Amino acid sequence: MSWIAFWALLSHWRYRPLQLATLIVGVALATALWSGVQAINAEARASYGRAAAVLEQNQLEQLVAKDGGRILAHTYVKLRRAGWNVSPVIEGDHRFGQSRVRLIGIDPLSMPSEAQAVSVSSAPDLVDFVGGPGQLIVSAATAARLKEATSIPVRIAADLPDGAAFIDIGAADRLLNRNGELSRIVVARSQRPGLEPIGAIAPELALKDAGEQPNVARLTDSFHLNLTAFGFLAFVVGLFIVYSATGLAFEQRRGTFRTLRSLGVSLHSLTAMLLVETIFFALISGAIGVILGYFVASALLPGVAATLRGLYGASVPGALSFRPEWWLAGLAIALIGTVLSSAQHLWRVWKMPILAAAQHRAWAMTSMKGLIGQASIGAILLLASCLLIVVGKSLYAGFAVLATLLMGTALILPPMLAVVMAMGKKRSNHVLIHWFWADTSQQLPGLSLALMALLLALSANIGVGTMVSSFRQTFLGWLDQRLAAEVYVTARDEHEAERLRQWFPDHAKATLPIWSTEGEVFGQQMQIYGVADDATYRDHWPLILGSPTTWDAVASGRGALINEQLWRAGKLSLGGQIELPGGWEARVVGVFSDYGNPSGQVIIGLDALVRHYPDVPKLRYGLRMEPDQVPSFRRRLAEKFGLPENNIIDQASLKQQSTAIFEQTFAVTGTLNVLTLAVAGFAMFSSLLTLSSLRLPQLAPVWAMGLRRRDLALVEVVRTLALWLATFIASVPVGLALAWVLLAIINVEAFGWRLPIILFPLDWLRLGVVALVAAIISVAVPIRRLARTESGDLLKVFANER
Amino acid sequence: MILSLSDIKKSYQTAEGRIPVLRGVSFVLAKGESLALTGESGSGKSTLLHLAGGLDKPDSGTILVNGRDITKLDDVGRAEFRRTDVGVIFQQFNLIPSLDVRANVSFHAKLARRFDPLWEGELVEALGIGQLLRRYPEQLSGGQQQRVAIGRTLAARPPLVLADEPTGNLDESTADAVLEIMLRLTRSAGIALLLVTHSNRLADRLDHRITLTSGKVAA
Repeated sequence: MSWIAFWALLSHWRYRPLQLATLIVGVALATALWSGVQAINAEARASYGRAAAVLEQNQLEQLVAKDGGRILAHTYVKLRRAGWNVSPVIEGDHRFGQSRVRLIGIDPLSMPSEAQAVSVSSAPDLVDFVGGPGQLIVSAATAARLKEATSIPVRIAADLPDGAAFIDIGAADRLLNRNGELSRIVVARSQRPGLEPIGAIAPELALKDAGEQPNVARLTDSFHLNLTAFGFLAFVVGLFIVYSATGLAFEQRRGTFRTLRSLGVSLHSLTAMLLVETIFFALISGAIGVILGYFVASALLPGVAATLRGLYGASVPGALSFRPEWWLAGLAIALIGTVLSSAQHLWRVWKMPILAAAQHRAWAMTSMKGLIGQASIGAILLLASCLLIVVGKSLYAGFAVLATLLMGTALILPPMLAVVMAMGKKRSNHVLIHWFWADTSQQLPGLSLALMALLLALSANIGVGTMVSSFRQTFLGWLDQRLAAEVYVTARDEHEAERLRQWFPDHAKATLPIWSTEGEVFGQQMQIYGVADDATYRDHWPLILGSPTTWDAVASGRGALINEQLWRAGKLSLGGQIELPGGWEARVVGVFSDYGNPSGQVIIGLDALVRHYPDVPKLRYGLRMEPDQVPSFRRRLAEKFGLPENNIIDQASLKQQSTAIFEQTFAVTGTLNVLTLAVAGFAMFSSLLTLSSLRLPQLAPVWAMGLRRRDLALVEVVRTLALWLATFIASVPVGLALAWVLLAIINVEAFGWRLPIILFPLDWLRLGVVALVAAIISVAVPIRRLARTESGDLLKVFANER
Repeated sequence: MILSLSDIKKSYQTAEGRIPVLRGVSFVLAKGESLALTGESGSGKSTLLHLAGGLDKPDSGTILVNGRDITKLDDVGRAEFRRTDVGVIFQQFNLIPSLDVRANVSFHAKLARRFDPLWEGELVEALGIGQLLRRYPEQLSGGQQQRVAIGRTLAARPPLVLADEPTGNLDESTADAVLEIMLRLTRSAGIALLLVTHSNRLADRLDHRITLTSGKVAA
């Protein structure tokens, strides 16, 4: 490789800095969004892994009850006596005031050292942990939430997930009212040889393997897949910019390539130099992209953390830690993307005859045959999308439907526009309009990638926007029905709850206990709620499936309602039997909507709940009354029982909180939408800039025949806006199809609930205006350049001196 | 002999079949001499120049440059030949648009590792482009660009210069001036010059002249 020749090649970029900026920004933006999303995913997954290792001690084998219920203390004793090195755990949710905390009761003396998530090994620590009132070991954030909510001393430990607290098993037993029943038993790695098998000692227990993927990681897979899809979409759109910029650089340097080769630079050397140049730019831009990606991820992570907490109950820190592997992955993806989008141009250099004409040719001119081929591939992809809708049954099939739908429609767009232009050309009588159609047709190949990028971004915006808005409207309606009680009260302890139960009937129209227990159903942990036999539920509770006798069956204790997620999982149908923790069965008599819940849920009659799970916490209540009585009720309740403000929540506040969580949940999606649209806008700008540089030979003859430069500039604006409008119109049906796939396929597969599709034309209009502004901005620089073109430059075209 | 062509044949495949362009051309050119190659359009002049410059390969025949048969060279060998043994001046000038005049002039010489600042200075002065060194090609007139192209070729001091209608885009007086400079500089440096031209007036000013007719040297 000759340095002087390489330097000559590179001088092109110094000579055209805006083009260089386009290339670098294109690669950097593509890399930033991709690596930002990957950084978020990596951080969240690492967090799940940490949480699982700490909370579930999943590095070790565990024993759980086969029926999903609890383990008798006697069983544990039998195992110890048989010589097994095992340790008991009592686990469950407990409310300290308004804070719900996951209590993990451990026995520090028998817990294997490899499962010791918190250090209580020193004598003073051990005394504090097991002695007196005990001790809660929590993260700093949880400690702040527990402040003044409990009299139990709190100790802060690093690396603990938020919302969890380690406590001595005795204290946990007391707080959770377990009466010695255990949640699980941890099995140490080192065991004495020749022990009697566990199956023989405790046949009611099942062994859970070590290192199983944490539940939350499985649950959130779909969310991360969603983010990855968004990141990839932005990456692809970013690569269109790179393709455009490298394509322009190739066209502008055709003469230079010929000169270099005629001066003795071999084809091998020239191609190698261009490859090195590509790699060089990819690495520089990739590095900028990774840094940008870090900031993108840092900005988005708090929103993602809120989403994960809101939708899945998963705890992810809101701050990003720096991981060197992002650098490598980010640079690698930038390199692969840049080389891929430059491959066609490099190939053309490789195949370019040394005596090829040095003049610019219409960039990326595609033949009619090429357009037909492109349309055919697009149609095949759309067909594949339809087939996948019919036969695909998984989340991945859902995303495959999305990918084929988007790519198919994007590929069909340019051929469709070509048909429209051909028709326009045929029907136009005025010579200038005829020329306009013909000229636009000639520009189409150069603009098609940008238009495809715009279509992808607009469709994604409309699709995801429709999904979120449909979700919001349905969710708010559902919330109105579900939060029927006017006030929600939480007692501080069982004694207070007992007193409240006696006091409520004289001060409210109806008392609705909100009591629940947790247990395993079909191998999954889920909540089992008990409901009182009250008109509130019969009138308000949103049922998807049921019959007139549903609520009677629930009240009798023989019937159970299941949530939509459990129903759609396909394991239960109406009329079928459901086996509940403790080994009893109920008949499924209805299905209810349960948005925002990641797992299954069962509702049974309140009496049945108390009968089968007598130690269920009885702390929470919903109370019916006239709305105008709420303030006086709150005042009386506070005076009588001294309940803190936080323990009495009215319906309006609760709805406000739920809505706030919802909005925060989808803030990330909104941000990614805007970023993708911004990248698409930049792709449009880059393509128009590319074309404007090659336009003079096409515009000069029209100028010579009497069109002013400003007329030509106006024609360019009209052309850009017409193409923008056509793309926007095309994006509406594509976006709606996308929304349907998200609501009817992806949501059902990912979350287990289906939402109705609701149209929001005003949102599309708003998006259209934003895209219009982006189109105007993108055409501004090329138009300014054209309007300022000197007559001499146009004349040079005729002098054949370009 | 610096250049010796022997029975060169070349044809191109077209939609109508193979069209012969050169039908057995032979001639020689000695060191420091100049030769005008004339003929009607389509007679094969440019094709012959491309073959002599190692830009294309003949179907048959031998082309010796400095005693080396360049028809036997592969792509890498021909690239090296173009770099060190020959300089080509095109009608379209083919300057590198992103390099200024100074960088363009020294480019081939540096590529051939024969850069000599003194010689370059003499050339710049002789070609009258001293005021243009900081300008870029698009800021130059056609005559100025052609002078820069000549400077770039001569700065590398190749033993053979091939020029394909180098004054075709220039007016008569500018063309005369440019040719005058070329002849003066090639003679003083002992460089052989093969010049393709349509102009009998210009051809008459060179040492020798041959005319191609239908792919053959006219008698």
